[in-house]
Parts: sequence; structure tokens; C-alpha cells
Amino acid sequence: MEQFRKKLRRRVLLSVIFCLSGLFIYVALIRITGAPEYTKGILFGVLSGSLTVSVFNIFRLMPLLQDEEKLKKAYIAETDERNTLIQKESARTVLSISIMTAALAAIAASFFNPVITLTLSANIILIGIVSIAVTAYYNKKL
Amino acid sequence: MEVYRKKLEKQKKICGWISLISFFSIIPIFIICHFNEHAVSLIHVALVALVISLITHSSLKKALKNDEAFKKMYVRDTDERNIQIGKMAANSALFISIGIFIAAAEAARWMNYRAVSLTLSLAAIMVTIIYMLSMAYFRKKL
Repeated sequence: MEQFRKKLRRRVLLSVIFCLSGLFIYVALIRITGAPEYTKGILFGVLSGSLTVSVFNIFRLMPLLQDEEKLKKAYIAETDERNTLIQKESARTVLSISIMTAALAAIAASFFNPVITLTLSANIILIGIVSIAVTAYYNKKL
Repeated sequence: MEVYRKKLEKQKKICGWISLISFFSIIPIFIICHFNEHAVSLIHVALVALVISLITHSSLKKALKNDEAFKKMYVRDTDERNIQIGKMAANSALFISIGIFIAAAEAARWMNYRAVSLTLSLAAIMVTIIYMLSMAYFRKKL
């Protein structure tokens, strides 16, 4: 339980650091590089999205650290075997379905646009490479 | 062990059908697509499917005939550690891939590759939707 509390504290701290550094980087990029309107829009979108997630995380995690009952509930929810199993089974299924769908879409797109076909093929290759790399990592780790 | 043997026989049959279909689809593809560049890309797909299914078919055939190879394959497929590694790797690979898709979509938008950016964004959205659906499915099932 103490480990979990430490983990939550670390997450809150990381969210706070992320918020502050994100704001700093945004202002610095806009001021220093004098980015055009389009780039400013993209930067603002990325920043506001990640800030919202971080602030939401802080407001969600702070009450858990103060209330023992809520902390226990969160601990059970996070370490529940069933939830973990559901997540892992889903991920495995999703990977296979995504690869098959992307392959079919790439074939269909070959009739209309070669760029889309290439992008989808690159997607499939990327998923394959990441899967192999992560499997090799876990093979060494476990 | 007997159930596993039946499973392999079923897989071998499916591989055989896939290789037959991909082999006999090459000529109709040429005729339907009137010998244009689409025919070439579709034939590439058919050839890849043919090669993969033939390799799988031959390895399954070898495992079904040779008892030693069958035992090796059985241990590899039913080993708890391997299954656990596969599940964990799929889980990590999924989130890493989504992250890379989003980052690549943003980068492509920055470089004005509209088609690439849209394809990658749609791929990320599709994977997320499939993940949510399969989570809901496994929540009901498990």
C-alpha cells in the first residue's frame, strides 16, 4: 500500500512538472521561433490537450492521497487481476484486428491512392517492429 | 495433447485453402484489372499470402508428422511464460503504436502531407475504438 501511495505521489509530481514545463516550452517556442499562425494553432491544441489531461490527473489523484478509504479502493481497482486480464486480452485481440483491418484497407486503397496504401503498409510494419522489440524486451526481463 | 493436434490440423487445412485461393486468384486478378498497375499490387499481396501460408503449412505438416517437433511446438504454444510475455508485449505495443501514430500524424500535418496525416489519425482513432469495444466484450465475457 505504501508503494502505491508513493506511486501516486510520483504521478502527481510528474503531472505538475509536465504542466509547468509544457507552459514554459509553449511560451518559449512562440516567442523565440516566432511560429506562424498554423503552427501556433497546432502547438496550442497539443498543449491544451495535454494540460487538460494533467490537471484532470492532479484533481483525480489528490483526494486519493488524503482519504485512506478512497486510496484502498483505487489500489484494489488498479491491482485487480480481472481488470489486468481484461486489458491484456483486449490488447492482444486489438493488435490482430488492427493489422488485418489495415491490410484490407491498404489493398482497397491501392485502387484509389498509393500514398494511403504506403502509409497503411508502414503502419503494419511499425506495429510488427514494435511488437517484436517489446517481446524481446519482456523475454529478457521476465 | 489430442485437442492441440486437432487444432494444428485445422490450421493446416486453413493454410492449404489460403495458398490455393491466392495461387488461383492471380490469373483472375490480371483479367479483372485489365493488366494495369492495380493488378501488379494485388498480385504482390496474393504472392505474400501464398508464401506465408505455404511456409506455415509446411511447418505444421512437419510438426504433425514428427513427434519431436510436435512436442516442441506444443510446449512453445502452451508455455505460461510465453503466453504471459505475449500478452504483456501486446499491451505495451498497442499503446506505443498509438502514441507513434499520433506523433507521426502531427509531424505529417506539420509538413503538409494531408493524406498521410489523415490516414494516421484515422488509424489511431480506429485502434482506440476497437480497443474500447474489445474491452467491453471481454468485460462481459470474463
